Amino acid sequence: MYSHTAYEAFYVYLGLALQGKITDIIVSEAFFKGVILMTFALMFLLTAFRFFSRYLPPTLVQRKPVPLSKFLQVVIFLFLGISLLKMGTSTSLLSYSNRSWHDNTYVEKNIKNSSETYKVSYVFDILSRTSEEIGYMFSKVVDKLMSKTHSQLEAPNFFYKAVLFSSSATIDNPEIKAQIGRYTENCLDQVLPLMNDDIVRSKLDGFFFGSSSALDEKLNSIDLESRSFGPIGYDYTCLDLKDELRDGFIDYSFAKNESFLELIHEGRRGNPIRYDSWRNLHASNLLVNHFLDKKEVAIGIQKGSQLPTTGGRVSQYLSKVWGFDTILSFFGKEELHGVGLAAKRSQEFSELLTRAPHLQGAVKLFLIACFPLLVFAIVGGKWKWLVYWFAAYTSVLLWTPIWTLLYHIVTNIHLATGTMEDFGRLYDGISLYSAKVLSSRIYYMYSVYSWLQIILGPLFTGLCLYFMRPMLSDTQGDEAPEFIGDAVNVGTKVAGMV
Amino acid sequence: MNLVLLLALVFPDISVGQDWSRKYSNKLSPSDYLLKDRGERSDPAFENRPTIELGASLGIGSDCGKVNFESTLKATLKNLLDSKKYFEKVGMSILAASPMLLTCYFSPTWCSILKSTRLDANFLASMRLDQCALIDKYTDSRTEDFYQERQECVHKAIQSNGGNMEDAMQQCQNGDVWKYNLSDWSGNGGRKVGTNKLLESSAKWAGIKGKEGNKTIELLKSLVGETIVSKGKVSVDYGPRKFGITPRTHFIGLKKLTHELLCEKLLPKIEQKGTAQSFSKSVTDDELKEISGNSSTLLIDRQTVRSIAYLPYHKRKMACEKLSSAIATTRFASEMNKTLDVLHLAEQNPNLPDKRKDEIRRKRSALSESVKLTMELYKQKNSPLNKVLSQINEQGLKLIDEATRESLSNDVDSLNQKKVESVFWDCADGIFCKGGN
Repeated sequence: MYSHTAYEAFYVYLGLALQGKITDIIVSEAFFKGVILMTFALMFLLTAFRFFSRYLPPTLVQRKPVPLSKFLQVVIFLFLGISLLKMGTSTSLLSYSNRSWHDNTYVEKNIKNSSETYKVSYVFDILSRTSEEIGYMFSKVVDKLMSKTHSQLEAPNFFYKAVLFSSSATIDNPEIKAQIGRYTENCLDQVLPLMNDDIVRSKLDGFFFGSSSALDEKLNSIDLESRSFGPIGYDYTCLDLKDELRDGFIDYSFAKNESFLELIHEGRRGNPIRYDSWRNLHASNLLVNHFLDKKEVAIGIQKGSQLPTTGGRVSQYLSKVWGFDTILSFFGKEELHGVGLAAKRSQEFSELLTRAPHLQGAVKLFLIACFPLLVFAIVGGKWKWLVYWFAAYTSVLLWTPIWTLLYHIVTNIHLATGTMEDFGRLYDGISLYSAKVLSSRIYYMYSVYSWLQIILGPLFTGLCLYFMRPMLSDTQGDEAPEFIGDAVNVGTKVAGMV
Repeated sequence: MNLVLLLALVFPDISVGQDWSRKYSNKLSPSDYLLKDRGERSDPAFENRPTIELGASLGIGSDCGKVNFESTLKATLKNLLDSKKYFEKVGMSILAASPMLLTCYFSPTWCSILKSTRLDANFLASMRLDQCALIDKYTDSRTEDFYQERQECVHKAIQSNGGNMEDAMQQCQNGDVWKYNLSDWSGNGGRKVGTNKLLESSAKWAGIKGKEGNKTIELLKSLVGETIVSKGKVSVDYGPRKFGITPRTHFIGLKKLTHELLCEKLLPKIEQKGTAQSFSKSVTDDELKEISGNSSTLLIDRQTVRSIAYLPYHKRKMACEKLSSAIATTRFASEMNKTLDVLHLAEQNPNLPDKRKDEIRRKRSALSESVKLTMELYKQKNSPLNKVLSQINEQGLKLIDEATRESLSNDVDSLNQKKVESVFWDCADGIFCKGGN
């Protein structure tokens, strides 16, 4: 069995465990055994009644004779049903990298004593394995064909998650915050009005560690304090503060996101942008979120005619250039502003990311857990239920290649736009504008993607069952096509003539 | 405050005597600093000082009829001459005139001889009058009333003896000139009286009487002094207090009295009684009236007293001081208004000599200025400092709030960061795993 996320794996493990428990109950409880035997006996009696109805006077019964093989069929159904309860083999759950999910942190946290293999019946194993292999094949094919940045199956939502993880970064170091505040209030506010309009989109970028001689010259002209150094001393300027801030901030940013940057640096997952761009994206988002928080604080203390702080104005500028407010309002998420923005957005992101796998996992759990109950239907002669189960299970597994296809389409569309340009700007240094644009765009695009996931998966399963039902409910016997009969008649006539 | 009152209405069982933690709150809002009263409730420099005897025996006749030089004028001149700063030149002029005066005053006979010794009579008369005028001008004005009486005597004598001034002077110089009976300043049909009191006589003339009137007169005496002119003696009476007070000291006294009644007597009593009896019984009408200065209009009501009683002790102290001060200010303004009215009426008294009218005018002007200045300075003592403290605290609290918010924000950011990490690094994808999963 395969699963591409731990959310899904969690439900599958639960389903397998439940399946075992339900099987145990059915096997061990006399009541259920009695029900099975009574069902078999009833079926046998009914078959016998039908078989012998040909010998009974038609005035007493309605003759519906069945062949002798019907008895054999009843017995086969009994054995088939019992085989559903016979836990004679075991199955395991693997990722698309062929690694078992049982020792995954998420699974271990949510399931105590999860084991690598679970006992299942041969019938379940055959059916599920068939479905899984079909799903695996389609998923792999789609993934291979459409993959541009990374494998969605081996690294689910990696690109999307990486960008949004960067977008959720916040500064929690008071010293860094104080230093940024000092720089913003004392330097940015004074130099910003002197900036030319030629740096329209990234007017703020140069203030944060970019190299611009004109801007640095202006920053250098603003003295903050006099410092003693040797016999003469020197003036500590905004440029000195900027340099000092840059070193401290980059170190802080790197230390804070070391795990992620190492992950990126491995390069095994594959991604469309360079390592330096990721690093700068993180640092830029730290600043963006810091200023968005400042905006909330500014609004909080903004009473009467009090003007917002410089930090508040920076965030207003950032919101204005991309219209993040408008985008959020589409989704009714205007409250995602200000304090806790990053946490709220990550919460929202998490919901988006996990909604579809949770749904898929829950459906799989239901199907797996309910599998032993099919014994009652099969012993009762309702063998099509097994086919429906198989169809439903397979269709649910096929959600994965559909989602994979969708993910790659969305990602490719996304990367075909100006996103790469923004990533390129981040390669040169910190860019608040680019970080804001990227996070907003990603959030928007993948919000749509997550909703499509929810819609397309169940829709596909629904359609499968819808089209399969008439096929299975067709009771007409197999006949040769009409053209064959015609051909035979013609042939016979021709032979006769000859 | 409204909340407190509302609570009191909703939960009538709440006792102001209970030990609520809120009553021990020391935190003050910026507006509370506007309540702070910076004025004194006592002034050691002006309190408990000995009674000053300001009465003076006249013993002088400053008119040109008789001068007891050795006993009175010499002493007066000496005082004047000692006051070099103000009277040096004047004193020298008087000394220059004294030989002639001395001769004439000691002996009219010798004076006549002098006249007969070809001295220019006109010169002498002129000289005499000039010198007398000069002396009159600078001699203690307290003698003026008697001088006028003496003048009247001389005028009458001149009229009766056919214009002989020397005879008239002879006639009027007999006896103690300064023991003349004066015209009654309260009118009374032009009768002569032995003693005239400037304020009381004028008040009597104006018809100011009764308990309130007497109270105002007594206060006025304390503030500006009552000039009493009796036979041979001019004195100043400061009423029952026996010493003069200034508007400022009176204001301080009022504040002290109100504070004692309200903050040191009434509120502790309420605190002590608690819910033993209803609030209306705890605070009697007499107590409120006493705090209001026994005025017919109450300056404080039970609701206000109740509100103060509910305040935390720290705030209550400030509010009580401010309220005492406010009540005292109202009382002070009312009393000063009355005293100035009395002086204004007294100034209109036609029975007073012009000089005495001037004296009242001066007293009124000085009192009015002093009252205005007292109020202005009191205001200056409180408003600017309180306003600055309030503004500082407003800014300070805002910054403290901001710092607290910043500090909490850091905590929230750390928590959020952990939350974000738990969301992203939950290892559900097998990649974002802490611990190398």
